[in-house]
Amino acid sequence: MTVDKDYDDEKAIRDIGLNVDLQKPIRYLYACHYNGVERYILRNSGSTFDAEDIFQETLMVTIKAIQGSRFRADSSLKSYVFAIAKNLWISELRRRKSASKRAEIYTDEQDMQIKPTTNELIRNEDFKLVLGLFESLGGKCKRILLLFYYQDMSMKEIMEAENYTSEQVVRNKKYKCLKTLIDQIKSDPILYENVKDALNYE
Amino acid sequence: MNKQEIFELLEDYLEGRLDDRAKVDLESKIASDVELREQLELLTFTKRQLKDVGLWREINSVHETFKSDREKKSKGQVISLFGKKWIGIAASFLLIFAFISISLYQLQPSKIVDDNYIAYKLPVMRSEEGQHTAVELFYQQRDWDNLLSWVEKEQSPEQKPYFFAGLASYEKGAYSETLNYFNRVGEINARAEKKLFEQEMDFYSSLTYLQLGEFDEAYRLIDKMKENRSHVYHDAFGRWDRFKIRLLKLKKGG
Repeated sequence: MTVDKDYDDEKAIRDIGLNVDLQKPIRYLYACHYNGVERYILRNSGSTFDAEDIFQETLMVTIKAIQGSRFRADSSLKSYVFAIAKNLWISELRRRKSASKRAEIYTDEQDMQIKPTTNELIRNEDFKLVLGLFESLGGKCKRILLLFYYQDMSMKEIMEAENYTSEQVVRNKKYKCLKTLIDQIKSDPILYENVKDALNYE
Repeated sequence: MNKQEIFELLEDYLEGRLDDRAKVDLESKIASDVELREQLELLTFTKRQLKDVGLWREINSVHETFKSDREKKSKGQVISLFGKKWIGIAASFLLIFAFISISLYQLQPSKIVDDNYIAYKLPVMRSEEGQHTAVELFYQQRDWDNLLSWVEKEQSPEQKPYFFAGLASYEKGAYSETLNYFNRVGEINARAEKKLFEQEMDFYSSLTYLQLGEFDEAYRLIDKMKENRSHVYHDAFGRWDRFKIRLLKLKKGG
């Protein structure tokens, strides 16, 4: 995995903010910070699998914080990423009801000043549930929903890319897929309750 | 309006694609219709989650590449460690093994003998000039058959005829006979005050044993010559010759 030599924090924050070609800043964050986060988690009762999950979640939170203008320009990307990772890991250990392990974890005050908000953590938990529901959809549904809602492609572009016969066919398919997902979310009482809470935080 | 059209209207509303009149109209319906409000909430939430799913997948694709590169790198390090040190050693062993195999295949005792053979030269002493015995004359003339006939006929009590008979037999390729004649010299030496041809017999016996394929005996005699710095044939065989004799022994399976 290659990262340009002249690519730095400033450029990564700029690209994430612009939300164009996120692969580049994500590769940069992996190259710069993954090993450090992994070492921290391994030292604090975690496994390499935990480190992989926590780092992915950390990047989700970091990228969304930057895009949502919640990233403070006065903190370095490194300290931000590490603080998020540490807090996510502590939350995970709490979730595992591992109080004794929690007590051994090293955190300093500076780390605790930068942390994902409760809102972000709840959203993160909700996200995992939604991700599970999304993955249960068919391949065509997953593609069409991501092309439309993540890649912001138009109906015409999706029609051409996925070889649909007309834009209306794409529109109908997208509706069916979205409805299936929404019905699944609705049928999960905890998730649905969180949906309301999450929207109330807005 | 069917369900799909309602969904699409809500999406247009969320994306700001409705004109003011349609927007006000819809907002009024949302305010009074619980089910419509719930649909809007779910749509808002799901749209946001779908963006997160896309981001997650993007992060995950980088994660998989990162992980795979890391594994390759770690394997590469093992290979390079192995490569730099152990493969080098293994290659050296292979080369040595290949060299030994080729050498073993090509190695013949006659080759060692030919490389190290020193013909026995009659001593040339002024006092003895013109006084060579018959056996010496036959030897000088390389007349092996007459030499051997003469020795058998004469049955001398001295060592010299039997020593030359041993050399003549060697020249004729009758190696067992060589050893027999040298044994007779040894027997006479055992009784005689003056021991003769002992060092010469060490050397020619070692060649004879090599020709007979009795490498242990040949090696023992060569060792004996090497250990004795004043031995006339001390430098007749080198270390490499001794190594080759060991290889011959290996080749023979001894």
